[in-house]
Order: sequence, then structure tokens, then C-alpha cells
Amino acid sequence: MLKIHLIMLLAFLLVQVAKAQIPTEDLGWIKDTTYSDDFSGTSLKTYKWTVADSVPDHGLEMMFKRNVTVSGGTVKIKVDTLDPNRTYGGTTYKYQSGTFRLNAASAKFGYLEMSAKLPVGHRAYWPAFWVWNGTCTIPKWYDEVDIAEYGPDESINKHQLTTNTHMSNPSSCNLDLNYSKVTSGLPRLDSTFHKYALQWDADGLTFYFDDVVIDHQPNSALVPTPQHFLYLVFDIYVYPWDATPWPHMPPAYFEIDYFNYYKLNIDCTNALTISDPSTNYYTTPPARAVKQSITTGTVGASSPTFNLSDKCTLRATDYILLDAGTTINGTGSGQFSVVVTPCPN
Amino acid sequence: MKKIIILSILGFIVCSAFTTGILQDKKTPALILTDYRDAYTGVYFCNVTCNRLSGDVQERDITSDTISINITKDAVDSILKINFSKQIVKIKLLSKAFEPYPKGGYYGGRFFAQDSINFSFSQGRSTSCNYAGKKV
Repeated sequence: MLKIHLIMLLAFLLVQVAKAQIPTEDLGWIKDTTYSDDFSGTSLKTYKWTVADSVPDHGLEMMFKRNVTVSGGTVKIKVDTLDPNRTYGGTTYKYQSGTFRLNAASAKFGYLEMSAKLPVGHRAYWPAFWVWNGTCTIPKWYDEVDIAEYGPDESINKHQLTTNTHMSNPSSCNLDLNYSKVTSGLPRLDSTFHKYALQWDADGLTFYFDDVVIDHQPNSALVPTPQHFLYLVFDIYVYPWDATPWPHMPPAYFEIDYFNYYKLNIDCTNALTISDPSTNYYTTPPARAVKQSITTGTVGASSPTFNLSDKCTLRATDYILLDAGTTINGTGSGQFSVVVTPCPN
Repeated sequence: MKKIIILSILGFIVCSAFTTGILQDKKTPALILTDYRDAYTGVYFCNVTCNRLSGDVQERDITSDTISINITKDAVDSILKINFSKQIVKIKLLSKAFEPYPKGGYYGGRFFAQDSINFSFSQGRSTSCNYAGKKV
């Protein structure tokens, strides 16, 4: 009888772990207000964001500050033709666009999410919500993760999205380790706001579209998970590699309603025994933290009860022991999960 | 009637012109049809300039190097393969310009004369490399 109970509990936990631990389902995620932004006001908050005139190296577009505007609770990046064309450094630029990014390389692990409308419908549109950083001075390294991106074919399709990881080998700054996935069958990306997110754990990357997992890349030698602080960027490039001329490119917008950055509390050097979640896990600082180990319940000593509506994910680096007396109350809506993970520090 | 005979003779002559094999004079060299792609195949010695985003929004990290790239024909008509830096990409020739094959890849360029190439390749959004060189 005990075996049956254990098997049922194990099956239940496996089902729950397979579900996404997105912030709305997992109260362990804490919104970092330093970086999150609802883009209220009439201009970008300069204490968070950098926007500048610049010239990417792809050859067709110049980036202008004027093409990044804030109004009505959203920020908009406009891509358009550049009339008249401009010549800079011997290259003639026919298109204009915009880019902005977090002031510092401050993204490392956590849950990065935007709600946005993306421009689709012309082969030229090459937008992205992405993170990168790196150096070609010793020790060399270079990381890039495209949380939401698409190129010309996906733009024409209007229902596709690409997620990419571009990483360098150790002691190199060449992006030789590349992984891409195209997700098809999505709703149109330009007509309504959709959520695009990356759950960046120390041992893997999980990509989401509208809270649903669309790709997972566990840490491996071929697709290593970034371990550095990265810049976070929103921009639109103009795709430059079609040899045949395009029809006229109409102006289009990448409109972002909000950017949210969630992080986990970290307490990876301490073990925890949970006797009552409401008193020594949910609220005791550091609440719901990643611990070294977690033990719940001990025969005759305590009977901790977790409710699904508590939206609880137990996270520990070494082990999690659900001992006798532990109860997971199935009433209410929500989830209970257990995750053994490297410390996200 | 004379006209029909003359047309028949002319027809015979024209058709004979297309016949090959046992009727062909073995001393006459056979017509060799060349593939226009042959002009572009070979090894090119290139200067490589790579641009990478740097911490400063308005600056880029630039590195330079030299490598050989090898261009060969693909089994598909009009398609060439570029072998470079342990990678192979396919290109479609459109006059002297070329684009990714199939469309949508992140590279392209053009040939100049028949012995020079300018080829750009983007690996991710942060990095792009330009290969410019001559056939060796």
C-alpha cells in the first residue's frame, strides 16, 4: 500500500515537473523592478535603457534614436526606408531603424519576458528580442541567445518564430556553436500582443511563446548555456542577402507593451527542513529560495501541507526529500513542482 | 513536287547535323559543353574581417585574418557550395551576385570579374564576417 502511494506521488510529481514553472504559476519568481518596465510615460527611462544612433554591420540600415518612441504605454521601434539615402563609411544606406538595450550587461539567469507585436509581411523585416555579450581579448568568449527572432522566410510566413543559441568555443570569440529552432503554426505575430520569454537556468534554456514551452536546450558541449552577464536588446535589422530586388518595403513597427525580468531568491549554501511551508518557506527570508537541500516532513515530527494554489516549486542544488508526513493537497488550481538545479548565481 | 523534294533534302541535312556517334568523323573533336559555374569554382585566398558588437553601442570589435575558401559545384543546377571555416553553405548565382540557397540564410555576396569574391556571413545578430579575396 505504501508503495502504491509512493508511485502515485512520484507520478504526480513527474507530471507537475513537466509543466512550465512560469512566473504566473510559480510564486518563487520575484519581479526585478530595476530592469522590468511597463514603458509608461513619453520617453525611455534613461536610467534603465540606452538608445543611440548607430550603424550595424549588415549593410542596409542605419539606427536612429528618433525611430524608438514611447507613447500610450508601449515602446515602438520603427523600420522604414531612408529617404534620401545616406552614405557613411563608403556604404550607402537605404533603410532606417532603431535599437535599444539595458544600460549594462545585467541579464544573467532568470525569466526574461516581453509582450509585443512583431512586424511581419516583408522579407526585409528582421526583428529580435535577444541577449549577447563577449570579448575577443583574452580570456575570449562570446554568447548570444535570440529569445524571439525571425528572418525573411518567417516574416513572409507570418506564423513562425526562430529561437537561437550562438556560442563560442572556450577561449574563442567566434560563434561556432549554433543551434536554431523554427516554431511554426503560431498566431499572427503582428496583430495582437503575444508573450515571448526565456527561462535561463544555469543548466539550460527554455523558450516560451504565450506561456507555452516551444523549445528547451539543456546545457551541453555543443549548445552550452551562457554563464555570463549579457546585454538585453530590442531591435529591427533589415535583411540584406536577397540578390533580387524587393518590392517597396512599407514602414513597420516592433511594439513592446512590457518587459519583465524575474529572478529567484538564492540561498544555495543552506539546507532547509520544512515543517510548515507558510512559516518557514513561503515567507521567511529568503522566501522560496534555491537551497542546498530541502527536506519536508519527518515521521512523527511534522506534517507539512502544500496546496496547489500555493504555486510552489521546491528548488535545491543537491537533493529534495519529501519525507513521511508530507501532504500535497490537490484542491484548488495551481501546481507543485520540485527542481534540482545548479545554483543560479 | 520539286519544292517537296528540296525541303526533304534540306530537312535531311539539318537533321544530320544533329546526329553524333557512328556517323561522326572520329578525327573531329567533340563539342564540349561547359558549365558556367566552372568559372567560379576553385580556391580563393581571402582577407577576413569580422565585426562584433562591443560593450559600447557605437563601437564594434573588429578582428582580421586570412583564410582560404573553396568553391565547388553542387549537384543542383546554378548552385555552388562555399566551404569555409569548417562550414559549407550553398549559394545561388544570379549573374555575378549570389544569395543563400535555399533563400533565407544569413549570407550572400558577389563575384567580381571571374577571379574575385566578396562574401559576407552572419553568425548570429552580434557577429558578421566579410571574406574578400582572389582565386589562387
